[in-house]
Amino acid sequence: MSEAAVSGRVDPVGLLRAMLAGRALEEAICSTTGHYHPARGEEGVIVGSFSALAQDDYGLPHYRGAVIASLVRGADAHRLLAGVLGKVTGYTRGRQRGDFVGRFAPNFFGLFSGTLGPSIGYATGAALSSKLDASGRAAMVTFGDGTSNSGLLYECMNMASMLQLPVVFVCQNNQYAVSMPAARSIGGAALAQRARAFGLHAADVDGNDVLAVHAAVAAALARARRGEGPSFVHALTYRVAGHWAGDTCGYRSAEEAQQWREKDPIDRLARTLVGEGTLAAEAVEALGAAAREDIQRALAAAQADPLPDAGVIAARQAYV
Amino acid sequence: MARMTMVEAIVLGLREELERDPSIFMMGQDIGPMGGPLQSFKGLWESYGASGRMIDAPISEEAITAVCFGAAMSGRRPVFELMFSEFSTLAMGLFAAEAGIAFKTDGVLKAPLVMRTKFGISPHRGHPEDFHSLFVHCPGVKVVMPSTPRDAKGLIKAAIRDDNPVVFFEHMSLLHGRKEEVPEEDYVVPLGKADVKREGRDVSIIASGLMVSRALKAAESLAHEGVQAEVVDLRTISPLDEDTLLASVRKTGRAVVVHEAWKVGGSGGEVAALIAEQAFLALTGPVVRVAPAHLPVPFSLPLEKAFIPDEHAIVEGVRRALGTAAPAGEGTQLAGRA
Repeated sequence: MSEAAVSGRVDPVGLLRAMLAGRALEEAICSTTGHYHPARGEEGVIVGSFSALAQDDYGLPHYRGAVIASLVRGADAHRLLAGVLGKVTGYTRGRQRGDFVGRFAPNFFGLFSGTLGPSIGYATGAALSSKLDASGRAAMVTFGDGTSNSGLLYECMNMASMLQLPVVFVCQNNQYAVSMPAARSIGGAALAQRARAFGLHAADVDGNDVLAVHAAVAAALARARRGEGPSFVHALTYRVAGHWAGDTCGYRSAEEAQQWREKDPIDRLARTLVGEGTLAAEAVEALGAAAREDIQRALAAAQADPLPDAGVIAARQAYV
Repeated sequence: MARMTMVEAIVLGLREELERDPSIFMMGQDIGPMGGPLQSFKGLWESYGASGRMIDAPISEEAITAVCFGAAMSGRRPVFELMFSEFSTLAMGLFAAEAGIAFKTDGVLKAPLVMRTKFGISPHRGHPEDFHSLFVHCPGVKVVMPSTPRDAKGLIKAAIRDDNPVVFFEHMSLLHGRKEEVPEEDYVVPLGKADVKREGRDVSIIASGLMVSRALKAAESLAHEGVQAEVVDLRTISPLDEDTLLASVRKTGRAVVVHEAWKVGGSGGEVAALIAEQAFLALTGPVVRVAPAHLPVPFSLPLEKAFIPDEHAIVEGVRRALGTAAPAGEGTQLAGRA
């Protein structure tokens, strides 16, 4: 568990470290493949939300940023990178693509395929488990603006409301579903209003302000644990990168992307911490360098690891 | 022992399991005070409704399924119903793309759940489509189809105790059909085990669901002609009990595969291919499939009757396997002629 993952107590330097580690991890992945779907610019939502979970809460990440969320929840960068490369040292020994899932754990699981939406149902189901055994655990799921148009979200918001489940739906709105702008794809009312129509508590938050995301999600999780039902957090951010690393983004203007690059969540928190005297500018640089160094070591180790032996897979292993 | 219908036997199995294991809950449409469609959860609301373990669900098939997968991965054992097989197609993605969870997570997670769904021609005159073959295609999913009350109780209990997603197909002509003596004590019918419902030396008829009783009738009439047919009830359609069905075919040398699902892309093709691959040298005739034509299930009774394999279509299939069939073009059965 990273230092940032402390429920109820905000550790801004820890959040900065987690975002720096996440960005370094993704830069390392992008150095190996142009097919990766980077979450660059969206770290505020990912780190802010996953750091708000208590140790035994359920956290279900969106595919974009799943490796960063895994890191926040205590995964090892070496094994995450090995998972992306299909190495035997990855968390699933090469069985499942590591970039979409990061690390599977009993209370951390999101995508089991490239299909978007099911993880919203899984979080609702984990919340139902929690309610049935009165464990007081909350569940949180993150998903994009694209997935917010999936019917499953609305079926699940209704069911969560009907059964008053301890679940928090977090929309990581990066404003693009591949090439489709959210401004065009979301007809009618804004997402938070849609959620309110289902009886959920809903909040809009600046997704590039990691402290604001953390606070909004922590408050929603606390409500869930108190038995006050489901919540929705709409966090507005921007997909600075392409849908995949090699995407030339011919469907949007370079100016638009540049404007959002200037709102980078890491730079923003660093400025705040330097401005209020918590950290010196050199210390911020040193944190970034240390994160990159750690990840480069992990990447070198993962690249040196072996691929799985094809003989380890046998028929009928799909069953327990 | 008590005489009961298949649905009564299944509900008894559910009740015993609910009593045994507190991690089990049920979800489905109209499973509250109504007792479930066609009484599929009769009496359980009265016993378990107050505990929150009987969840009467809205019309949200995909969410019911995804929520139950999520609950299963977080330690519960859900039994959910998607009323009819045609409704289960609304939740297909969860089984098609998402299942195989134990494999994908290298054992970190599992999804022990049962999806119940009804299908088949019946006096209810609706929702007959048999989509079981779609689920057979999905890695990591088990597909079960009982043919008798006694098997049904043992199979539903085994399905609930299984650590994999199990799709449980209940035939609407059987649910309220013939009663049978069903043990009131705890027993399971293991998944993955076929059952030889009638022994014979001349031909193996491999069937499931309603087709088992029709195959038995066909075997009865063939016996009058001196043909001894063996009837193998698959019970679990995926994974197949390869040992039992191959042993039967190696003994008889002939195989007729029967189901109510469409022949094209149907699970019977898998059975036929398995026999061709594993027991080809034991065969003394062609492997024959008796299954409906590639048409939507027709509504009007005479059309439906022509469409679904009956005793006569199965007898004709056996004759084709034996090489004693009437020339093509004779007969009126649509089933088996697709």
